[in-house]
Amino acid sequence: MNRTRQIALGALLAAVPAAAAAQTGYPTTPPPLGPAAAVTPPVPVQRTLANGMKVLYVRQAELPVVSASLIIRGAGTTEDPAALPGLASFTASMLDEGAAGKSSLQIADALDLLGAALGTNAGWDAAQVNLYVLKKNFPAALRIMSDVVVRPDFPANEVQRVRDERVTNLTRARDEPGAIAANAFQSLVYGAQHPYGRFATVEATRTLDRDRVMAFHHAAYRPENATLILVGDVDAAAMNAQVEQAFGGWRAMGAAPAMEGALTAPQIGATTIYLVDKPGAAQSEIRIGHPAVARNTPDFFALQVLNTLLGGAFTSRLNMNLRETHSWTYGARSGFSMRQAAGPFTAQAAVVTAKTDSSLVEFFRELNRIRTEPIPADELEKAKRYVALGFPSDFETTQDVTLRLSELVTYGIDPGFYGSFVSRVMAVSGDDVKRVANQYVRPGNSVVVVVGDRSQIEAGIRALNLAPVQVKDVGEFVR
Amino acid sequence: MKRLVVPLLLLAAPLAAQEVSIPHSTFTLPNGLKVIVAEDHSTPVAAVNIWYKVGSGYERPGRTGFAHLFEHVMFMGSRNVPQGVFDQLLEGAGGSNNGSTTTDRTNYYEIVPSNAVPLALWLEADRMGTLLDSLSQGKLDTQRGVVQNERRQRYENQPYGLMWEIAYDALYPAGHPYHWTTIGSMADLNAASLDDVKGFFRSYYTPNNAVLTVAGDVRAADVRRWAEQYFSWIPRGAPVTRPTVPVPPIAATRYITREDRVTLPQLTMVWRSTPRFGRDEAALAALAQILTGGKSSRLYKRLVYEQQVAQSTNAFNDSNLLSGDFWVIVRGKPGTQLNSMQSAVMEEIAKVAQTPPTAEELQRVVNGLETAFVANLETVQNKADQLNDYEYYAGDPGFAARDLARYRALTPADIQRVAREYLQGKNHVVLSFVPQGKPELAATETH
Repeated sequence: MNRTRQIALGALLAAVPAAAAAQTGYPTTPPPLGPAAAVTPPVPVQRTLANGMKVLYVRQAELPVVSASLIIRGAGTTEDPAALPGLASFTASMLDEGAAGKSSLQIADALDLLGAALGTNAGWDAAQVNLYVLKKNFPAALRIMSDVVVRPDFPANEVQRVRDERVTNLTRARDEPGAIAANAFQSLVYGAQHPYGRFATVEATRTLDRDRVMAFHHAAYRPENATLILVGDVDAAAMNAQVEQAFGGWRAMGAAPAMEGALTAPQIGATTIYLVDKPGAAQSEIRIGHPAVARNTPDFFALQVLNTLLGGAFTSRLNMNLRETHSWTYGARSGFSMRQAAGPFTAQAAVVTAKTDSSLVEFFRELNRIRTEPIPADELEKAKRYVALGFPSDFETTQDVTLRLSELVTYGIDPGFYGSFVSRVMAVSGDDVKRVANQYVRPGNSVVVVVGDRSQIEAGIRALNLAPVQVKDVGEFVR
Repeated sequence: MKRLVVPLLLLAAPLAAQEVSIPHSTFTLPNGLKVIVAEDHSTPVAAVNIWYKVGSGYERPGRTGFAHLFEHVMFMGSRNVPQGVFDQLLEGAGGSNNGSTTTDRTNYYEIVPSNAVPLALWLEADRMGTLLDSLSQGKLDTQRGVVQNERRQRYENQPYGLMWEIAYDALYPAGHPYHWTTIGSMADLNAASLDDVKGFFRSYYTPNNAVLTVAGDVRAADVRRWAEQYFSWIPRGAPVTRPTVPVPPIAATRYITREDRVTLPQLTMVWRSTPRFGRDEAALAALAQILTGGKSSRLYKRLVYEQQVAQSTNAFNDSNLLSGDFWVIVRGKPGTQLNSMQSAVMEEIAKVAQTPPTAEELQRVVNGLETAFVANLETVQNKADQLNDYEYYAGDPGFAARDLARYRALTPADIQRVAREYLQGKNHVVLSFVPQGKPELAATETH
């Protein structure tokens, strides 16, 4: 930057009387940090109902609220039939559209009157029903929660209505460059043969019907695969009878499904750039990555530190380079999506159209540099401290705690996992980071997706000679 | 998390409202910096949250977007904090930080483990006291580029992203500080100069124009000691004049059509409402929920659930320092003629104006707001921001109980009255976003 001007400006301001004068006791260096408070992550109290459903209680009673999550493993998107992507998600979204003889509107009104928020969704590896409610209204809200999970009616007219809404949403996805990029990336990385490569389409969505939803629910929603997490002003001794009453009668209605077996991630050959035209786009959406690592990896902590350095924090290399040095983007980042099987590593940003090619160069510079150059000790230390010392904030709210536990439940990880979290982060070495960078960040075997104005960016990208360029139609990924 | 000495809200039990409060204490330094402290020792974290009483409403034509651009420059270093070190120090302490700008105020905050509170306070003091010492053209230019990409990412490259800009342009006359949006225009961002930064800093970034709130695992006596050590040397600035621009009523109902790269036509209707904490703010907020706040809400049920001609409905009241607006947004299914959406909105407003909503309809809304109120206090950052919000807009950080009481006291007749006073038959702005080549889908003047 312009150092001359900086000095001149400093000299100028020193002449302003008030600024320099009255600073007695004002330190010119940062105050040292006192000792960090020791944090003990909550250890849940566990109960198991007679039908096999587990219940985890964490008492955090500063406020009179209950945050509840019911996790149903094996009811997630990974279990979608190949021909029917979206079935798991659709089933989850239909749960509260009529249950135990009450209509969709009756359920919604009852929850609203309780001031309760209920949400249903399907992730990759589990379906989830979340409830947030004041403690006073928890018993009534819990009964509604059990109705929608155990006794959904899937009324035919509601199935049709929600299906039509989904079709409309898919139709409008082509308006959103980020949505196009996400579908293109997962599809080109994993392909249609792999659950992680499929995405819902209008054609498949139109074939969703009540029978398919019921069949999926009967097979996948099973008490022995379910865990209810309760965090807040809760007490296992006082509440377990309520939970038993709400969920004790739950029996699986169908035969256990043949779960997806061990999934093998595809090998990505030499890096290819896929260009998807979005005429008139003010920015280009960039995604770079490949299959990487599953949640149960022994390298979990080294990967947390690696990603913090690379693109997981504001001062990470990707963000400092593309945003703070070049100002080509509002933000650049990276991440490892860890699932039951190896999810993708993704580096991404939305960059100004005119600097699309230059941005690709800088992305690859950083992806290569983290593999080849030694990690400076102070940078490593900053990243480790960011993850380790920020740990208490991950457990601040009742919903934070619910989220942390739901991850452990979904992936069958020991409940004591968080007890050693801080020490295991601080034990990560520069060599560990270098090793996992070389193992899990592979710029030479990546899929690069660029969604932008082809007429403005194609020539520049080709001239880089970074990798072969293929032009793809947007209709391949949003349809 | 949250210890709020909250005495619980009995939902079913009607308005025999127990007291709700966010316990805190305050003091003011001789240079005019007001400090609010809310102790909460439930988690060893704290939020340092400072509000400067300046936002895009203080900008002048030709420099729109400047308050927000300035916010970005505040992260570029100060006399004792070289460029980039602000974030490095906080991340190295396990903290996160950010800032935001609205029409009325700019906030900056750090969420840190409690042992890093002195660091966060010192960083805020250093930039309040010495930002200009290290300012450079390069720093300004870098953040100008970042902000222009923020505009591209969040507005220009988003479907319907320019809705706000088009609507405010029509809602407030040229010269009124709400005539433009906080992000500003590309041309004005390009025009911003170093002199603008210096002038803005000297006018508005003074201790007497700021309020510092610390919430979390701290002791009030420690915060006072740190505040005195780090902030008290910063000289008081000239008093700031708040904009007192008169807000003319909307002169006539206006129809605006924008053809855009969108698949679904969208109707936006906006009426003038009331300033923040104006007499009818709570009733208007509740009316918005009654129209679109749940599956049984009037517009959602009619257009999305029953007729299935709309994909979504969204109504809200947005009240700010000088004025407020009541928004209704309906996104139609493909090919929907927006005149039919417009008729539906007008009919549902007329029904509320004709007959008060039921007691249960209103109770659902109030109960949801009460849960949201408590949920908001689970984080130290939200708690700190809420205290600053009450301090700025209500003139009292201890406004929580009265805030909630406004909603608990609402009657169905209040909702009916505000539908009549603010919406039915009142001038408004109608903005149609339609797919390119489909201007015939736009809403037109009703006959």
